[in-house]
Amino acid sequence: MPYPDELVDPMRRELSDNGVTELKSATEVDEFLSPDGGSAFVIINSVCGCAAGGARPGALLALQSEVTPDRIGTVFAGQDTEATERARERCSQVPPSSPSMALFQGGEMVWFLPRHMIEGRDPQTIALDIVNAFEEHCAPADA
Amino acid sequence: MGTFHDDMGELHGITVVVSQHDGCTWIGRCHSEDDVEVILHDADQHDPAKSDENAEQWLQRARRFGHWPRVSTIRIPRPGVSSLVRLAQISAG
Repeated sequence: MPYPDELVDPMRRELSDNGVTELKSATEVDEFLSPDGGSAFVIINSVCGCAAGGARPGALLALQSEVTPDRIGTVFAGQDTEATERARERCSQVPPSSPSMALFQGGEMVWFLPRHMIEGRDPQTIALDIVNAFEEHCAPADA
Repeated sequence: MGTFHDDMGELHGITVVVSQHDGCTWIGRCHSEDDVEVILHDADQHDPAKSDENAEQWLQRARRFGHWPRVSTIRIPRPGVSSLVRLAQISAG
């Protein structure tokens, strides 16, 4: 059962107010992760205070780095169920967890940050993992 | 840094690896742990007698991508536990 909107809205806005595209349907996820769309970063948001409270600020910190993906999007686990299910399908063999984050190139997942690498860690540490992934997978070839 | 439920112990909400003296290993989200038992949610078990891969291979896969939540809740008697660590602390193989 989804949480009340008034509880979830601030957690959505923490990302959407900072330029992260909300994906609320399977079609939106598929379009966002189209093979010709370059690099795409998807944040699987969640209500869980144990981990998501560090995930959101960690992701936002990472988005201030020099190298970032072409597209930044988010689905909300437990709320936008169709979009979340499709995003997880696109992560193929990776077990579902939330919060979590995935980086795609040409529609294929190239990096994944599972929940256990988020929970209990401070936003700066989480951001460092994400920035390293951006630099490995999203930097221009001539950089 | 633990979770925001300080009254539940530092491992509450954290994904942990529980190794047992019988050779079996559990991964799950820790609810609580004391001298009596370790309680995990959304857990998965590696049993060397039933798996084609060894415990180290299974742990390395979980360390990289996470684990499958096959068991909703499991209570593991503490006397059978040989170690309890965070999954995030498992070294890359």
